[in-house]
Amino acid sequence: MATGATTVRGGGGGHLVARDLLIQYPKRGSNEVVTAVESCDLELKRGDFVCLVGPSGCGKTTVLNAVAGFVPITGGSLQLDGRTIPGPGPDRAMVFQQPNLLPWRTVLANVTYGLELSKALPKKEARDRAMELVELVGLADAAQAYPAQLSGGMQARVNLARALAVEPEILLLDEPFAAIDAQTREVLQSELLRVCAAKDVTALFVTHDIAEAAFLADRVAVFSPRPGRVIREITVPWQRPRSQDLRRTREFADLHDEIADVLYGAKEGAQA
Amino acid sequence: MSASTVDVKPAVRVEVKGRRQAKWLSPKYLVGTAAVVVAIAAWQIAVTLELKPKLVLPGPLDVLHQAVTMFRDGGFWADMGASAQELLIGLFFAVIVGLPVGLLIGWYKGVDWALSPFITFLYATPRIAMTPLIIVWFGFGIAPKGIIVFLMAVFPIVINTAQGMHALEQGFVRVAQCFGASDLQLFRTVALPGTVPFIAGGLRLAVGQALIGVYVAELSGAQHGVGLMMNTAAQQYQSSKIFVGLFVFAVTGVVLTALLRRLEARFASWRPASH
Repeated sequence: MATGATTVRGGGGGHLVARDLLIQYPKRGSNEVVTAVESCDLELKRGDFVCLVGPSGCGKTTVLNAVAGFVPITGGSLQLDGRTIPGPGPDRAMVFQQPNLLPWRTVLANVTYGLELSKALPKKEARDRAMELVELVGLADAAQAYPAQLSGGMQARVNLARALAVEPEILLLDEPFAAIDAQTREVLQSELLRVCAAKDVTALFVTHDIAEAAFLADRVAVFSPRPGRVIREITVPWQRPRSQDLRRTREFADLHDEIADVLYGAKEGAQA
Repeated sequence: MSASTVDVKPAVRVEVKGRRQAKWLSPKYLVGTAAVVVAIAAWQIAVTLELKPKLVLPGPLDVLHQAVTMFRDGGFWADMGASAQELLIGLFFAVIVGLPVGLLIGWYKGVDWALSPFITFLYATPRIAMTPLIIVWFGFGIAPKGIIVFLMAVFPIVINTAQGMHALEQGFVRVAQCFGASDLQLFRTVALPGTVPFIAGGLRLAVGQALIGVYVAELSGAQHGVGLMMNTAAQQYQSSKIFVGLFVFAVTGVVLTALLRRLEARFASWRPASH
């Protein structure tokens, strides 16, 4: 059986758990309140790779920002290892769509940045760990280069290495490959899976690209239009890491269609 | 894994955008040098043809001759010493005061709001017109001249620094916050390095303003000074002396600006190569 909606389990086993999540914020310049996320349930176990897909503006990035601690929640609960999320912190590292590498720091110094701020490790060890990650993402030769000397794909790798350097409990990725050309993107997706396997990472990945979600995730959570909630979770049956050949299989195409059906059904409204 | 044996050489695979070539052989410098040679030749020709009396327009050789005479004379060294003192005192305090004030304005909105009326007012005023007031308050020594230089130089530093802080890339701020950076860490690792190019630009503007300050300050009564010397020479129709003073100012400006550029290059080697 290739796919199927998973039911959300009761509390206890979850690493990241959202229950009946409600996120509202005041609309800029008025008294109205925007409801971005409502009645949203989501659960990640340790080591899970979950992709959030949904129509643009559906609130999937808001959920990610709430986990990161940038956005306060209005109702329901959102817990990491049983604790409510306080504010931003290095236990939840974010990979933004724009790499935002500090241009005055070398690749290595950018990767060390998070460790430097958290002071979690002595300088030497921080540097060693950063170097190991730079090697892991395939940039050993460019460790001393500055971001301006790198291609977009290389910058995306640094971005990923920087987030992994702080050894976060959960890795949050907000369309990190959206601005990258299609071929490089596919390479980076494979690399991401390889790196996640090597570091046993738990990841929450936001994208609007169905193929990307199907290729990366253990489960794809499809969001409804705003106010966003998870309308269906689709389990992806293949072991990670996955080979590029998978993309050309019949089963992959079927899974893609299944996700698309849920997604576009939801977009068109009640027919789904 | 030999993570400790980090290769410090520039990455081989990385494509370096700025091409290196022998600096002095580049077309830019050849054309520039040729243009200067042509200009001096034209000057000499104009003098040889006696388009103006020599008293009014001395030739380059006359000026050179005059310069040699003056550099052998202790009086001119006293002039240059006095002017240098005024310049350095003024610039020193402009940096000491201008940098922190600019950073505070850029970092705290409240400071910005409190100081902006004064800065707007003083920046719009031709500050050199405050010279008489400074003289009345502080007399004719070196100190009031340093104050005038300070007033000229401090504003470009303050304004550029504050502007650099305001132009901070919000994406970088987000990254720092995401890693749980404190305000101090955010300032030290993002705001300050991001502002360095703006500070360097402000310092270069400040040098030009400071030189104006030195010249004008000396017109309102001084014992020594290059500006004073030029003014006295003008009254005696010694045009070649004026030229020497002019070149002293020019060379000072060029040298200081070049030093600042080198400093800037040191702190901003990360910037993509341009021009």
